[in-house]
Order: sequence, then C-alpha cells, then structure tokens
Amino acid sequence: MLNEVPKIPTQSGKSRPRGRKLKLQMQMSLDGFVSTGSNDEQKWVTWAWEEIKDDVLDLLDSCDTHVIGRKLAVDYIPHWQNTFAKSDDPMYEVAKRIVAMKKYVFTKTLKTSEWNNTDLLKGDLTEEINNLKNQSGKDILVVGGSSFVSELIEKDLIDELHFYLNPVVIGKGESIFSSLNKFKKINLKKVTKYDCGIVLLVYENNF
Amino acid sequence: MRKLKLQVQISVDGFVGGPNGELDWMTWDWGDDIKKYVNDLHDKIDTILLGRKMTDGFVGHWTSVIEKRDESTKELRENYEFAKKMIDTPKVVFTRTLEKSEWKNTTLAKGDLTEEVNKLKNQNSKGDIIVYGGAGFVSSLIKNNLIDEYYLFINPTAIGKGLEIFGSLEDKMKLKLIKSQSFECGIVVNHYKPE
Repeated sequence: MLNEVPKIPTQSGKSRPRGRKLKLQMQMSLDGFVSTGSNDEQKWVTWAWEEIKDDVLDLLDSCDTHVIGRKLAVDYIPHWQNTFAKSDDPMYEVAKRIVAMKKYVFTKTLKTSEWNNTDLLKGDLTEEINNLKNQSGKDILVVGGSSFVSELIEKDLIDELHFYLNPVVIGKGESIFSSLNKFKKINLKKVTKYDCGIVLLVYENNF
Repeated sequence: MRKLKLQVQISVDGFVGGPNGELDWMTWDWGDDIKKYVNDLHDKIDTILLGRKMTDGFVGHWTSVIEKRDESTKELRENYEFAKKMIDTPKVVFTRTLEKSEWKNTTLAKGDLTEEVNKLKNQNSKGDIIVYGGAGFVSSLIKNNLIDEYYLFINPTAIGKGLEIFGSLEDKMKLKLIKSQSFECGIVVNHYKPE
C-alpha cells in the first residue's frame, strides 16, 4: 500500500499530485540544445565541476528516486556503478548518491532489470510518474536522455527545471521542448552565476 | 571603435520568435528594474541597425505610440518616452531592394554587410550601435562575426519551435559571460562578449 498525499485540483480540472516533485537537471547550450546528437560526448559543456559541485549535490540530496529512459540507462547506470567503485574519482560524490537512489527505468522492450536497486516501469508514463509522486519520500530526479525528457515535457510532468546554461552556441542538436504545440510559461525561481561562465537557471512549472 | 550590441528577447529553448514570427510568448509585464536596465542600455547607443523586413513594423509601432501620445498612466508615459527615443535615434536600414528611405531619421545601407557595419563602427561617435532584430538580419550579423556584445533577454517561456539567430553558424561559438542579472518579471539578462 502506497502512502497517499493530498491532491489538489488544477485549472484543467485534473487532479495533480501535490506530493513529490519531479526535478529535471540538464546542461544546455545558449541556443537551447541539450545534446549535439546521439553520439554526443558533451565536449561542448564547460567543465567546472568544483564550481557547480555544491549545487549539483544539493539537488541530488533533495531526491531519493531517479527516473531514467531506457536508452540512457544502459550506459548511465553501469557508468555510475563503476565510478562508485573508485573512491578517489572526482565524481565519486555524485556516484555515491546515484547508486543509493531507487531507480526506475522506463521501457517497453526490456523484460527484467539487470541493475542493482532498479525496477522497470512499463505502464503509461503519466500514470507511472504520478504513482511515484504520490509515494512519500524525497523528490524525484531526471537527467535525460533527451527523448525521454521530451516526452515528460510533452505530458507536462516535470515540476522543476534546473538548466546549466553554458556560454556556448552549438548551432544544431537535440531540444527537449520540440514536442510543445504551444508556448509554455515557467516561473523563474533562482539564478546562479559561476566564474566559468555557466548560469544555473532554476524554473518551476506552475501548470 | 564603436561596438555593435545585440539586444534580443529569447526563449529558454533559444528561439527569438514563433515559427511565423509570433511574439505572443514574450513576457511583457516588465517591472521598473528591467525598464531601467533597457533605458540604461539605450542611453549608451546613438544608432539603431534594422533589417529591411522589420523596419516597417518597428518604425510604424513607435510612430503610432507618438501620434497617440497617451500619457494618462505611468506605463503609457514611459512607453511614450521610449517611443520618442526610438524615433529620435538615427537608424540605418540594411536593404538591397529599397531606393530611398521613407522613414524619419533613417538612412539606407546597401553595400556588403560587413563593410557597411565596419564603416559605422569606425565612425567617430561616443555612442555605440544597437540591433534588436529581426531573426534573419541578426543571423547574418552573427554569422559574419559582427556582434561585439550580446544582451540575451531570456524569457521564462519555452516555445518548442520558431525563429533562430544562431542556426547559420558552421561551428560552435564560445562566448564570455560578463554579467547575469534577473528581473522581477522572470526575465534573466545574460550579457556576453565573443571570446
């Protein structure tokens, strides 16, 4: 039996869970792309881990659940598992938190989960996410990939957006908003500027 | 040398207009903080560059504000004052088709874009040069590396698809962040220079 939290009616009349928030974190270029394409190694991202570390870890600490698209999961989960095995790795603190989080991989094709602390979710995206939001606990994290995030945005499931806006234009690439049919207003919550030129923009989705 | 500054409203996902140039997504409930920022920015310039396509709309809009001269509220008075600035500031319109200018305080530039812009930058004047749009004209300025300062007004809106200003770049372009400032209405202005 899941712990239920109160639901509030929204303008559209649908009830939306007041419970846990789904929080997105992504690196973004000035021209609004999150990736140069399927083989993106994120070489366009400004590398300034020491500067942004505290904010990234704060976000991770606010979450105990991690939802991941299947395409990203196959590399992402083993990557952090391996990093977790190296306590002197600069990203160890991230690895520790990601390994500890309860992970849910959204898939229509996989039959069983081959990863630790990870379950598969195969149902309707909106229902599954709202189920998770209605459970008690800390917030829920999503970091990609871009097609999975696009679907979450299209279905208006993301509550908070954390964009690390890099001081670079990449010209073409993948967007997470291209599924929108009309413009979507969001609320600016916080801006943080780093010496490396990255600006962290935090927005809330006001539905 | 005078600088060419770009001031442009841009969505979180990097568009400067809807697919047909729509501007309905933009945040318009500006507080005093951002109005002051824009006025300060404008006080340092004395020339406005315009692409031919947006000139009619731009000049027409501000002319109509002046002709109506409605100063009954603080908002309208500020708008009227700003309209006067827009119309009184000398403008240069880039065109290959027009023969002569039909707008007040406006001259035409018909030569090569880079040469014409560099000629303006080399003119002896205290004030800098500003460009507000449109998307196609700004794209050409960016592609030809003519913008010296970028003032990106990042609106708290995602629009999904629309007009871009960086799409014509062949390579990645790094910029140097000078300042980032947020305003009551939710707009964040990021000020960059080319690296």
